[in-house]
Amino acid sequence: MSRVLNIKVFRFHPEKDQRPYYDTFQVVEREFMSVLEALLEIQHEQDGSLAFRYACRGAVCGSCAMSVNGLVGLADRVQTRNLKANILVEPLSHLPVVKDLIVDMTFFWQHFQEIKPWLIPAETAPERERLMNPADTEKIESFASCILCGSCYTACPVTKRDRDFLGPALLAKIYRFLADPRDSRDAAFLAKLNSEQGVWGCDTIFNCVKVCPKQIRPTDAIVAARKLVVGRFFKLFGANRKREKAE
Amino acid sequence: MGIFREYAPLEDAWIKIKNLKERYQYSFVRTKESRFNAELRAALELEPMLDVAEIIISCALARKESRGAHKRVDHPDRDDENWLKHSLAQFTLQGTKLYYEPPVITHYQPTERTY
Repeated sequence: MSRVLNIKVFRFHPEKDQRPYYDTFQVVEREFMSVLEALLEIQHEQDGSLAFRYACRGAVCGSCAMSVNGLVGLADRVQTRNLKANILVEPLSHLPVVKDLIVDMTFFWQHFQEIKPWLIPAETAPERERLMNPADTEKIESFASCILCGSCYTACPVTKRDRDFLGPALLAKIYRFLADPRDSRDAAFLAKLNSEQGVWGCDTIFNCVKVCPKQIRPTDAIVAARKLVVGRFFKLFGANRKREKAE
Repeated sequence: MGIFREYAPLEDAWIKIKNLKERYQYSFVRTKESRFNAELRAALELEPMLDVAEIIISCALARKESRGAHKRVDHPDRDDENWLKHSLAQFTLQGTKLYYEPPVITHYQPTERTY
């Protein structure tokens, strides 16, 4: 017999509501139902004003990141059969709520632009593709598969207390380029990274590793990026000393 | 409507879409909100979806042959003589009007796919 799910949803419309509140909806569980499907059923059949982001319905696009029973993840990836009948759905924490389960991710995207998430090669484009050896690609592959859903960003205790901290997803993205032999970021970029807002901000709590829907380990990338940053600064430091001596 | 198509089910689908289009005229949006109104978005998206569905069904009904992902069970063979042409649809006040254009064949000559 199929269960009836009690889905308690965070509601807030900043223009209308004084403060947030919770609505509880009953949904008959279907086989292989995701939390997103349950929310869609509520939106279609019970309350058309319920707002949440989604697009692919299959854990590919990363639009539907939210908190289910206090654990951040993609609503289309969380299966209701793995949960008890009472399900609590809330928006990503410590980001401003636009409406119900939709949060304002401007901070995240601003930072994303700042880190220049594209290849910055030293030389001009060659005739053919820049080839990489498979061992190098393996190192960065998992970090390149990030879908930028923001789950780790809001699961991280450091982003909560420091808005300027880049956060796990973006630092992992930076490492993906630092570890890429085709990329050569300038010293100014590394200097920015060599800060509390960059690689040194991480408290190695590993919340990001816990919540990532794509099994990426951002903390590993941050620790590896620390090594690279330190290494390159020593190299830079050594070169400067050499130049000073020569002069 | 999938890959395998047949006159009777196609006609059935055509009637269904016609009825849905009629029903769409009387649809309304209950949620009156300007911010992230999913109901309004769904209502706006539905109209062109119904148009496109009708066009696909009309073209499939007219094309009495099989070609690629269009497999007419009642016309299983490919017919280059009559149907080597693009289907196009035009909106008119009298309903959807179908017309055809010849394909531009360049390097590869069209042949039947056999596996």
